[in-house]
Amino acid sequence: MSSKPLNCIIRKPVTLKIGEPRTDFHSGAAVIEVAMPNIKSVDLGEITFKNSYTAYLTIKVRCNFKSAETTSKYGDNKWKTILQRYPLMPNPHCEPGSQDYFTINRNMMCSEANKVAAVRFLLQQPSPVWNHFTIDEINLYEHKLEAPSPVSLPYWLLHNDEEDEELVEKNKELHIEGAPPVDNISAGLQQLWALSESVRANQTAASLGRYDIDGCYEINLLSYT
Amino acid sequence: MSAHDQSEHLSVLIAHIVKELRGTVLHSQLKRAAQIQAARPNVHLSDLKREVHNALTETGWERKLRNAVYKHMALYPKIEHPLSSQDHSKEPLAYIRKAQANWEKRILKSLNSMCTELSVPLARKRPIQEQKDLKMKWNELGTDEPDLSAFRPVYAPKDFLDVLVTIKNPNCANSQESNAVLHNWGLIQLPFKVKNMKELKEQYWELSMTEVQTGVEDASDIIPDTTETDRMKLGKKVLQQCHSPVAQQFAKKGCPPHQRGEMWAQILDVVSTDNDKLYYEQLKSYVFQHDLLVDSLIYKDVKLTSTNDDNYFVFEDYLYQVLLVFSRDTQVLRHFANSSATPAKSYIRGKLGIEEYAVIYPPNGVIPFHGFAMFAAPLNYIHCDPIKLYFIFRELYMRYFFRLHNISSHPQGIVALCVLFESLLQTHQPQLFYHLREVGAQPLKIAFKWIMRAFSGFLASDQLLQLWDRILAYNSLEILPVLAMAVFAFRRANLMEVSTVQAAEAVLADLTTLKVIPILQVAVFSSTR
Repeated sequence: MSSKPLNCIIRKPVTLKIGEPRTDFHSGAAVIEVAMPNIKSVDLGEITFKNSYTAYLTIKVRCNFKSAETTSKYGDNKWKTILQRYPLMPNPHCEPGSQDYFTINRNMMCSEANKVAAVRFLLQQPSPVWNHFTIDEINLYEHKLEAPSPVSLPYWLLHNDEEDEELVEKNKELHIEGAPPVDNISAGLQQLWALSESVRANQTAASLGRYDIDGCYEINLLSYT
Repeated sequence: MSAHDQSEHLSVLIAHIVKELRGTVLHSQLKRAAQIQAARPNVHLSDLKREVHNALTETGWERKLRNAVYKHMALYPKIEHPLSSQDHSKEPLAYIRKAQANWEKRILKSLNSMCTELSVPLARKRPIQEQKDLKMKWNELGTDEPDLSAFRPVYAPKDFLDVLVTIKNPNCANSQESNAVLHNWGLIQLPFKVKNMKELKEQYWELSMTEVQTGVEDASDIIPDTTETDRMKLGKKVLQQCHSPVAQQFAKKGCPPHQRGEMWAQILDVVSTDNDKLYYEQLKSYVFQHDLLVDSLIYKDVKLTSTNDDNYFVFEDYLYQVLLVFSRDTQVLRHFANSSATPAKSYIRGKLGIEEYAVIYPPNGVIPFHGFAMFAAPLNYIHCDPIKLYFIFRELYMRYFFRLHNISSHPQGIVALCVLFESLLQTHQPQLFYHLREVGAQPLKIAFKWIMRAFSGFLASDQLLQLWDRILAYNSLEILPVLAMAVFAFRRANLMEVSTVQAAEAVLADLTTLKVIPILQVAVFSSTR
């Protein structure tokens, strides 16, 4: 999830109503449409968001298959469900889960979110306890297949043998009078380096317990910031 | 959580615990013990690892390591979502964060105004002569009678309750009276999730009437001696195991009084080593060096509460030795990772606003309130050594008591405990609750001070210690509101007769005759719902 989120336009949640548009009916369901303007189709990897009192979440996607690839007679306009009624709040009447952060990844989706052109979030909050419910800070991430990183081969495997001999002769000329052979020096230095690294790795983060600064703890008033 | 997430979580947890343990004395002790084992003559190089491992298990070191890991897991803050900010991981609900921030600001203002009124600095270095005097008087600080009349406690339980009652969820449809959805008769109108009686029965099943309990069977006339000896025999075996989870399980049915100290030390994994003694002496030297305003508040609190209590006035000197040292212990700052609170900050005189000179006040980040000393007072019955007493008190505070004076949505925070009390009382004693409401005596107004002080100072000391056995054993403060409800249920007959607030308070003024475990058993296990 280190990649940047996809560029998308997230519309305001639309509360679903029944009957006349002007009747005051709280259905407890809302829809958030997410359009991706510059992207024709993308494979979804992860979706992250912050909950705000939504109890159940359903996610539908519209896939952009070429007409030859689909077997369904509905063609391009079919909305596929990738997450069915996922509980965000274990008890819709109570606080736990109401303001938490969530991540939906591919393992949790019930079908493949490939070649996605648009996403719809269906929010449900059946409890009458809450005034408003929505989800915030929605971010979509693309699914990238892990390409195997190129393994770095050791120098001697890649190196040509002929060139090696020339280098060895050059090294012999660099011998300084009175000093021990270069290999011994480098071996000694390596040991020193290994020792210092092991000491550095073992440093404890335990505090000393001092609360004063240089022995001084003269305080007049507490700070409000 | 999927299996992949769980294994990831586990490896993060293990890495964190290893890092924590590296900084402790146990790490170097284990290394030394392993070296000794490896140097034995009959150990071969080929299976060195296995031999040392087995030897450490046999000599008891593996058990000590297990206890340390168990302790760290109890204190480990829960894994947070990568996107959640630090504020969010301390407290996920925005309106609760705001309430806690306002409450902290109020405390700071109160402390600052006390400073300016009395012209006393928050902290100053003691002159050498004063340091010497204090060192001489260390074991009898109770004889000191400084003039503390000008000091007043920063806040009392009543003030805290007034703040809690005003907390409202802005998104909750309860805000307008006409739209009220939550039908709570009580003071706290928040939609927190609390356990119902069925879930409490499952959680506390070892407390049921069919199980033998210390505090019930050994107090009765029928078979006191055999129960006591049986429990003590079992307790001795448990103590020999030196294993925290085993001790915790034993404590669920109560600890025999003579074994309580050792049992609590094992449950909390408080091992008194020489390093701990040195650390205590270091903190003591800090007490001599600097004089804090908080010290005067502690003095005043001890004089007002513990010295007036028949059970605890003899321990006055020990209380000073524990509480003054507690204020200077920076290890206590670690618990703020689990708390919704933030410690108060200040700057060295003359260096206002410069971050390098920012310090935390008091050094442990905890500002005491009226009744704070009562958290430490009952522990004097368990240990006579002030050093071990101190470490047990510190561990108890960092695991449980800090939740009783901070505003948080945690299921064991004081707000959730109040909601639990009111919901239990309304469900199981509706007639009583309604009658008290009609009279004008809201039950929470009476019960709040019991819950906030964990009943310390209200119950007889032996009963209180049995209650605290269960807090440690079940690792939960939820027993406090359950007991509060049980007390109301027990005195129901008298309460139904009252017609004024004062009469209701008078019925519940004296709890010292109550036997805690039997009334808990009746309240929880004989309810039909």
